[in-house]
Amino acid sequence: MSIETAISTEDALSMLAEIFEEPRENIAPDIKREDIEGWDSLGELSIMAEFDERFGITIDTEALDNFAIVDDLLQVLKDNQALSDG
Amino acid sequence: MSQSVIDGCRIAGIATATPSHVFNNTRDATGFEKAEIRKIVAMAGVKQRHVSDGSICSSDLCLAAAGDLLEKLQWPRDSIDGLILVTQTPDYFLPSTSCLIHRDLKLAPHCASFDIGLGCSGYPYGLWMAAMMANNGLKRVLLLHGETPSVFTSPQDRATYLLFGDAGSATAIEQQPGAAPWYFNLQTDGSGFDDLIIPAGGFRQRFSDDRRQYYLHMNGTDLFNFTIKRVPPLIADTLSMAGLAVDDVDHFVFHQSNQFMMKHLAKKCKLPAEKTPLIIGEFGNSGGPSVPLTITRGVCAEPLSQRRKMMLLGYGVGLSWGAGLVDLDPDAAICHRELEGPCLTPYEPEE
Repeated sequence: MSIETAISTEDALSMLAEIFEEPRENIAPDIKREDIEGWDSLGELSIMAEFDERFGITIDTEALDNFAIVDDLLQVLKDNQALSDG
Repeated sequence: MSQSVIDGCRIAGIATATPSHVFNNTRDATGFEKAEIRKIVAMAGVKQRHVSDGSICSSDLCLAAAGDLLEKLQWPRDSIDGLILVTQTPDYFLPSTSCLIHRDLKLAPHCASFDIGLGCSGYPYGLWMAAMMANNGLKRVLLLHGETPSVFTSPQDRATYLLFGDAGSATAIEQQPGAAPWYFNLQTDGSGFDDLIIPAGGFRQRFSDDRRQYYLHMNGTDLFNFTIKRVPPLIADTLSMAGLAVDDVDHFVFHQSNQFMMKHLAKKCKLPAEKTPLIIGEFGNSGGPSVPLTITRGVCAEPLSQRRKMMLLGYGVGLSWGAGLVDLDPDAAICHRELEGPCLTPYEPEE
């Protein structure tokens, strides 16, 4: 992970809001997966593509199946040094 | 790594056929919410699909394409030494469907005929096999590749039902001493065999009380990771085998898996949009035959004015993936047709 591609938590939440087609205020670390309409199989593919394209991160699909809240996605960015303030 | 260089072959022509019946995803799909359909159509890029009503099989589509191609090439039937049918939607488990097509094409007994059971990766594999045969004494080989995936998707499964169309193809390959070499790169990862599978109906589970077991099961997220892991190195390695760069190749002809995936791949591999023709909007994902269909309907939408270098890319069920880097001459016969109904002589069991 090159340091230039790392983004702030705020920007990461905005990115997720855009992918899930939700207003920014509806996306926070503790929001549950089932409360986000756009977090379906198509939404997952969009996240996988975005993480690959922007950060070179491949998301483990078994882990993805078990993600329950938005913070699980932030954690993937953090684990890959893609959060500048994480 | 399974890399192979084959000298001295040419593609004399490519013909394709699709069912004439068009299913418009936005207009005709029922059982899903409109917003859901719009979202799927936008992502997969499939506006419409040419689909069989169940009566048209891969054999019919391939037979129609092969008949058109032989007519156009004026190849005598007894000049064909080999017939390969690549399909995962055969008419019967036995005999090989290639034998039925051999009969209806009135090919000679000296023509070797067999089926190959591959799907999305089938075209580069089939072309490699045909070119090997043409290079080993079989002067002229017909490669047929057909699938009817729309028939094995469940109307209840939104992930697959709106995606697939049906198509058949025939590619004529012949010896041409002195022709430029073709490069092939063919690979497999059987650990992902269940990422695309029809669990019942084969000999492991011939019958099931659960009808869903007879339909395609697809693991979309695993397939995504497979594709981004395998296809970019496949393209890079095949270019490197041939000592070429992206600029030296006229067309990267992808198996039309889904628009989202193909655009992601093209971006990742820095392939210009004009080099990666997309026909998925009109035909859907027709499995491996989407590669020759993209040649007849995309690459050759306008007649070619000069020789084109094409990288043909298949990837998916198996998991299996492969690339073929080949040339297509402007004098190659190219045609496409729509098929109204079955054309193979039907099997009528004796009473």
